[in-house]
Amino acid sequence: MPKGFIITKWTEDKGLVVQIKYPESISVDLDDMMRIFYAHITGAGEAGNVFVRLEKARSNVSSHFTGMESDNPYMINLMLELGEYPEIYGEKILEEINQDIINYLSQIDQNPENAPDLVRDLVKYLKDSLFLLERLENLSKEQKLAQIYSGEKTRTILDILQERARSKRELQGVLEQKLGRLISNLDIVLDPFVKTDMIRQDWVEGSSDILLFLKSDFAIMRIPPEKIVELAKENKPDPKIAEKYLETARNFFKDYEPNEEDNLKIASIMINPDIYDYIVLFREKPYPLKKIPKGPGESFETISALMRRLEENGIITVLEDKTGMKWVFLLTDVIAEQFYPEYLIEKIRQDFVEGILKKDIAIKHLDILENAYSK
Amino acid sequence: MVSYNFIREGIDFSPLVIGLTIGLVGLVIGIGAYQLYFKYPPTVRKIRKLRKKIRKNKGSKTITLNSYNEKINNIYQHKTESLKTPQSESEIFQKDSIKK
Repeated sequence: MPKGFIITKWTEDKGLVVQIKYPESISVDLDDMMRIFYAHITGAGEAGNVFVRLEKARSNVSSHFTGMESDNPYMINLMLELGEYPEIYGEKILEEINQDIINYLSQIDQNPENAPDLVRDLVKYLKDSLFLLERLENLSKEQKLAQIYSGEKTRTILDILQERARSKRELQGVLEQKLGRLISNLDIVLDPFVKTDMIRQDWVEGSSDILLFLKSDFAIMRIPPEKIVELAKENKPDPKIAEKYLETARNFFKDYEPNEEDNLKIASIMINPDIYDYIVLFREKPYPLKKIPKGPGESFETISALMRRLEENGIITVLEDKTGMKWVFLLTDVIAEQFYPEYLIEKIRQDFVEGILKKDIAIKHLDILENAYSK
Repeated sequence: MVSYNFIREGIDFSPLVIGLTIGLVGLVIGIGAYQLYFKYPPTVRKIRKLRKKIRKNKGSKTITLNSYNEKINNIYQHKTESLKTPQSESEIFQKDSIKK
């Protein structure tokens, strides 16, 4: 579970200064903060992310630095438990949180007269972000697949393993080459693959390293929401609105084709726990707009913002019935569908014939695929 | 007084025995074929055949199975069935080129 945020700023006169921390009770050791700062500036002081283990504070820290060349060099430090790594939350979400925090800090710097209110907003944002990160530790299997797709590292790993089985060392090398950066903790990055039973880690006699075999694959796409379509065919909630809904859905899917850009959008929506909860809710039946159940602590404004985001992304549609009441319908269900990777069988044959794949590895992968099929 | 002794010929069981033997052998072959081969889905049979060839360092012909894109296309077609009407069958629910 994340412990909290500590935001520090580098100043010419006072050095490193703690700006904001949440929760207030979180302890700050300036020596530790300096260690993190040095970790950043030894990389030429550029904007970027580092991961530091603090033995004394019994914490891991995922830190983002705005860079020495920025107007106000800030470090946004997410304090984690020892043994926790930022990769478990997915790459995208931490990037978004860091960017939002930087936006708040910029506003505070540019509007000192409004600083107290802006600081209050930022502290609330930090609190909400911590709650979000806690929820990200408990994603459903479908969300974990979406997390794999939405992260550049994990998506690239999937691409690599779709070609053929690799040893961990080989995978790390290819991954670093493709991404142009070092990958520090491959086991943590592979975590969602293990949890969703997509890969098998095994050893082949004569090999010096553990090998990774893909045994399941998945696709992200939009599909017609089955229950809602069935209800509409039964003229529910009423015939006029049901007909309007079916026409809207048919028109959408007439022009829709799964593509990477849209899939990335869908994936980032699915891994947001608040939004995903509403998608799961709307899969069951349409809701009158005024009767959408609220989550704990959710205000009308929060729900409105979520509904707007869902509508803008073509996930929901709002239709009026004959009485003028507005109903929220799930227009497109967003899914991460797992399937058996039968295409690998021919790839194994081809790679073996071309001498790219060793015999023992080919046989082991076929064993794994046979067992995976039987299940 | 005339007495008749009917000489009864022994019942010929040989067609029955032959038939039963053939039946039994057929049954054993059938059960064996099912247990060793037909019980397994076609994909598993292809895996086993390929594995056997690889063990013997032999080449084999191209194995015809769904490619990645074909698989996704099949999933998409199946999932969009619910929206199809007789009129819309010919519309672009047929996505021939769904790519990764």
